[in-house]
Amino acid sequence: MNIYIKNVVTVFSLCFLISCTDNLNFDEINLNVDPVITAPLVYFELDQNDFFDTASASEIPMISDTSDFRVFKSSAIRNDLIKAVFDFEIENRFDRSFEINIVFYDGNDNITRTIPSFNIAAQDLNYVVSDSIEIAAFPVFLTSRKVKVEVKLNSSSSQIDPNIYQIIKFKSTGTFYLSI
Amino acid sequence: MKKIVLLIFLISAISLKSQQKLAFSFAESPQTLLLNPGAETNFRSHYGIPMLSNFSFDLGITGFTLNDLFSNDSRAFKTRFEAVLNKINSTDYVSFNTQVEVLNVGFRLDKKTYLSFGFYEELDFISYMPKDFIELFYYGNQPFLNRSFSLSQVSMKGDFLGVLHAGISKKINEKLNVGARVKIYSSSINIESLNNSGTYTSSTSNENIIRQSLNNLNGQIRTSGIVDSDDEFIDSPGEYFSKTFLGSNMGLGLDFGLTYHFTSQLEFTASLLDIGFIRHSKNTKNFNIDGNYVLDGLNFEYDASSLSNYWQQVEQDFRDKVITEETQEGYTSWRPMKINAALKYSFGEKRGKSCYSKTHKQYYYNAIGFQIHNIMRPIKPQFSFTSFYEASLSKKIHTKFTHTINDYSSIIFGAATSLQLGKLSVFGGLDNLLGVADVSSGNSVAFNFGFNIVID
Repeated sequence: MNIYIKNVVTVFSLCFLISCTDNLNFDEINLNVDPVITAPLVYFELDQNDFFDTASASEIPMISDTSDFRVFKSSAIRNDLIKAVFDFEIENRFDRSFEINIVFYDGNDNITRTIPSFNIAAQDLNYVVSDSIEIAAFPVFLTSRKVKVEVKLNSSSSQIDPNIYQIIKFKSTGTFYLSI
Repeated sequence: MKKIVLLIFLISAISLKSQQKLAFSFAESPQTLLLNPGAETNFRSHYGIPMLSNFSFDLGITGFTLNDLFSNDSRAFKTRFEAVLNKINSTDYVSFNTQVEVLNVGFRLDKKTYLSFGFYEELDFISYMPKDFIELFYYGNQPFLNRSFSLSQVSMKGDFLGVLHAGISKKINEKLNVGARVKIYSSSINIESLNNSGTYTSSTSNENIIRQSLNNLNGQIRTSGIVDSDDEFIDSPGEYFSKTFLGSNMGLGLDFGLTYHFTSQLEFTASLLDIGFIRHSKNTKNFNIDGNYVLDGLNFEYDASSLSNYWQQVEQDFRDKVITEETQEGYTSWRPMKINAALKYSFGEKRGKSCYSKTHKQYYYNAIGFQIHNIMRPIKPQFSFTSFYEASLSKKIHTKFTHTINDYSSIIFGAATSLQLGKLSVFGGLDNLLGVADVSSGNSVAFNFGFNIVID
């Protein structure tokens, strides 16, 4: 029996001893996670009445609106953001052209980024543009806390008729490239 | 050092899948009583050696092997990780269960009745692979427009508890032996996130370029034992261990089992284990999320008379529609019930054995059969089918060889032996012998052992 026990112990020991991790490599287990997150941003639809002051019966040449922009309040986003890309789609059914300006500000209303103006021709139904920001080259952008979108009705010889329905649609997304 | 720890953990995680089931219906050792309270015993009493009377370790992962992640080829680790991520699905899982028996004693009450009782600590964990959310975290939502990510894939349960138990095995007649065991659970830690539902989707939209939607979101994480009465996280291991013995969150469970001899050569054994629950009423901390939400972005209104903070509006709207809350409500968690059954046909040379009653019991030197082992888990049961061959080399040396098919593999070969060294009964089992030779390409390997003093 003793010989048998020795054999059993030998077999079990052998099983553990011959256990091997055949050619495994644990030297390169650093894993960079590089998610790309896209989120809707500002959108609006304006019609002829937004550019016409009925009291004075005159055009309103420019309107603007502002909102908080809190994407970069998160330190995780600030630390890991490599690039931000903003995509815009504009559908202009006015028989007038527009200029749209988008400006980002920090918490003290200092400009952190001005996106080059968009000039949208009359009846341009598919105006598409994007703006890319490499954070390494433009770190001040991470201090952005507000966004303003300014819509200018370009001057023309013909004035807006408040009884003729016309619209301009604006859509935008932000795509954020992270490296965690 | 971190790499060594990681290496040890990963080798363990992928390779060790102990099979307590090797002991099921085998050799009438004390181990079998915990797996089948209706198992037949032929000894007068037994005394488990504290902490060593029964140790089992059961750790495994499905969907990939170590080789898939760490093979020493020219591919970058990132490439291999992405291949694994592509390979797994949401029903793959990581699970482990380990039991350490602290105390186990048994004695014969009369010719037909054997009593046993004891206490063991158990750590049990399972987490399914929430592939949707791993991909969402890893790649982001941008590559997956119009794909719905399902919260239902988030399903996990973890328990650390102590089990005080007492069982009875009773011979009804020459053919039938039945048994039952009552268990008092003392939960130290419970963490579970089950029955979640709802989806997250980024889709194209008419309002804006994309729309983000949370549809019918209903998720919860329930915990007990990880915070104290002051809602502070407990960081003392000693406190966790002390709560496993008649601590504050208690439960009750039952095991049932039987052994039936159709003939002297054909035997059927079966057991239902851990039919029970734990009521968590103290030191609970739960997190719930519930609601629907659609986000098109910041809808600028250009209303000079009423300037709005659109971002704030969106945040408030989200808070109103997607309710997140933290509660201390009590809850009940169910133990993972196990089902075991085996059919065994004995043959070959007969042998006699002296039993406690000074009578002789007839045994056969060889047996073949099959057994099933099933654990009820949150998404689907963990099922194993095992065929086996048993051979007794003498009255006191028994061996068992198995072939198992389960979630891990269809070619798991195992071996177990039971030895009687004087009054010392030793049981040892090793499963997936092929996997032991190269743990990197296997999903499971096993071991289980126990030392008991047995008085015939």
